[in-house]
Amino acid sequence: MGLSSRGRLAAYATAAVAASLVHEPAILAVALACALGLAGQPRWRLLNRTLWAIVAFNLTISFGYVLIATWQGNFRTNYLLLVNLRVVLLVFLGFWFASHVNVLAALRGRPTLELLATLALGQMQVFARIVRDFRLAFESRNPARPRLADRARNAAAQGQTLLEKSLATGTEVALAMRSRGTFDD
Amino acid sequence: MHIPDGFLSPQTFLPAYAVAAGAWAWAARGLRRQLDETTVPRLAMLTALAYGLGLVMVPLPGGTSGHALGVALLALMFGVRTAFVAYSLVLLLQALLFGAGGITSLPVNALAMGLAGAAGAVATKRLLTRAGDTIAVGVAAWMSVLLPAVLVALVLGIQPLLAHRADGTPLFFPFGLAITLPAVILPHLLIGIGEAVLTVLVWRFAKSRKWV
Amino acid sequence: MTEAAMIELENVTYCWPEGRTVFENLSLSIRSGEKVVLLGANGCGKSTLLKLLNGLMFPDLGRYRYRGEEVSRERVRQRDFARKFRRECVLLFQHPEAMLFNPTVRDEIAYGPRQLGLSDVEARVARWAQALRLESLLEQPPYALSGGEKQKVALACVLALDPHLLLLDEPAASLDPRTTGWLVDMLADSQSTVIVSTHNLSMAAELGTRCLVLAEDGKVMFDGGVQAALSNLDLLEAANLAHRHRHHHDSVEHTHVHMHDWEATD
Repeated sequence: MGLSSRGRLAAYATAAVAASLVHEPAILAVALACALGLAGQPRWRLLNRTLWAIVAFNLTISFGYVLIATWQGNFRTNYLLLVNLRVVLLVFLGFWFASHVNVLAALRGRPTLELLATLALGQMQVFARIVRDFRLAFESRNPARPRLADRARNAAAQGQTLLEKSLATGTEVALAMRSRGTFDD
Repeated sequence: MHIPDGFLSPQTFLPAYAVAAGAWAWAARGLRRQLDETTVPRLAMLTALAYGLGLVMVPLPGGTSGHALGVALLALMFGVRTAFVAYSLVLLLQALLFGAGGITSLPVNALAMGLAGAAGAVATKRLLTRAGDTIAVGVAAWMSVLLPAVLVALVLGIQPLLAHRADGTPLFFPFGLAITLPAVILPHLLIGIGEAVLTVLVWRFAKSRKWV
Repeated sequence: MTEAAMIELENVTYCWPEGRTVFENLSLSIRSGEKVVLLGANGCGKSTLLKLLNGLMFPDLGRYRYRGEEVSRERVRQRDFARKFRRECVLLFQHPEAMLFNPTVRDEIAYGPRQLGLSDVEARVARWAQALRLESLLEQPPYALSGGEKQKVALACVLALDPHLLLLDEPAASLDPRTTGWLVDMLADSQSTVIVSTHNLSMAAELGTRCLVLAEDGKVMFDGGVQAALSNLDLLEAANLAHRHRHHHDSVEHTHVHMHDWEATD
């Protein structure tokens, strides 16, 4: 499409607002079809991710609406179509945007934010790995069902490890940045 | 507790962005006053910490569990401004990078959890200082879950009033306050207890390391 | 497939959620009592394979059998199987701090035996604390320990269950030389089946018997004797376990395959 990262961010934001201003399911359906068309080869993978991401919440809301609205005598199929299409469209746009844009490039021109995001993202991956390891290790170490207290202590150990690493890494990164002349005038 | 995309009306999220922008400017100004070479890397690591804490599953009775929030810990240790900025950054990165969490619901999520949750925790701890650390921190953490839950329930519950067709059919979130208030708040009364236990245990660890 | 096969992987394929293939059609069989060294460069899937063998991850295709029983997601959820399997098959994680969550080292080592309701919990704690020189640390919180001490505690935790299958992910990474020596001797004398992942070639040599070399694409490049693997320089270079660099002997410069922790002999 040839848009810069910032351009794509602006387009995504505009599309999100526009989708919130449209209240006809047919138009949202067409918009979704267009988005699917424009998304190219990854469209079905993105749609799959979208559906998995929203299924629990949307099913709960939809089911609740069917029950309550039917009981109250004001059930409208139009609403179910509208809200589900809107959510699918917005979440699909979100995944499509995320898969196509280097967010750090989009932040160029805002150096503090760019640096913050770069550093944070690297560490977020490390922390996700740590939490995953803790979860697997807890499973591995429990031949019998763990008690609530054991689960609580394990959760606390995760929090403690993350806190310790975040403080230590913050210091290390600052030193490394100084060493590389980042703070020199 | 995060509100996903598509359930909030523009009459909600557009003004929420305006309010959030003001709050972000306020928080950033405060942080900039203390800006030195360590601020950015520290804030980046605390952003990662906010993200990581959100991945921790807090156990609840009955074998279930819920995602931790972590905002109380961040606020009590590093201040409301830092917690709010770190939280907002996490929401932004999650929305833009992972496509998780909504771009339209971001300001409400940030204000409810990142700001109200943080401020509620700090204020509660100050009020309860005389009750001792365990109680003060525990109740502060519980409040940091309950207050956002109330706000989220209110914001969701007024959607049918704010945006509906002529015949009353909702256009966004379909349930009013009579449903959202109990449906959101009641489970969070329990989740808040799990958050309180987690926060107290990590707080004690931080104290033993002399970080607080 | 033999009667004594403790572990069998049949055409196992495993991919990460984002789609990257870790193993494809991996088949292997390990007998009870074997000491297997898993060699491979970083990122080739060693840790993933060990987690799969510990029933923490499950094949997308193919089957994993432990003592003839399939280890599937559903089977591991069944309490009777989980109890037996988790006692017999233990994993020492590459990052051992992920395993530690109890208030003291004593509680940490006692955790598994207590969960199983064993009658000799204190004796097990004492035995492994003594073996790993942890006696002075028993009342310490694990988070206050050094990296090497945490690794010893994690090792004590898994050994305290007297497992039949010991899966060790880079067990010597943070250990001091004395403890490493103790570990090598303990594993050699142990009746348990042992699978050790390492990229420390000198440790691999001391564990003897069998060696599996994983390529960077997760395929098994070699399955045979440890000595045969370690003297095959082309194999080691292909597996990114050895490198070529310029080398000087007096005034002569040449390049040859080189490993910094192991000297291959013919």
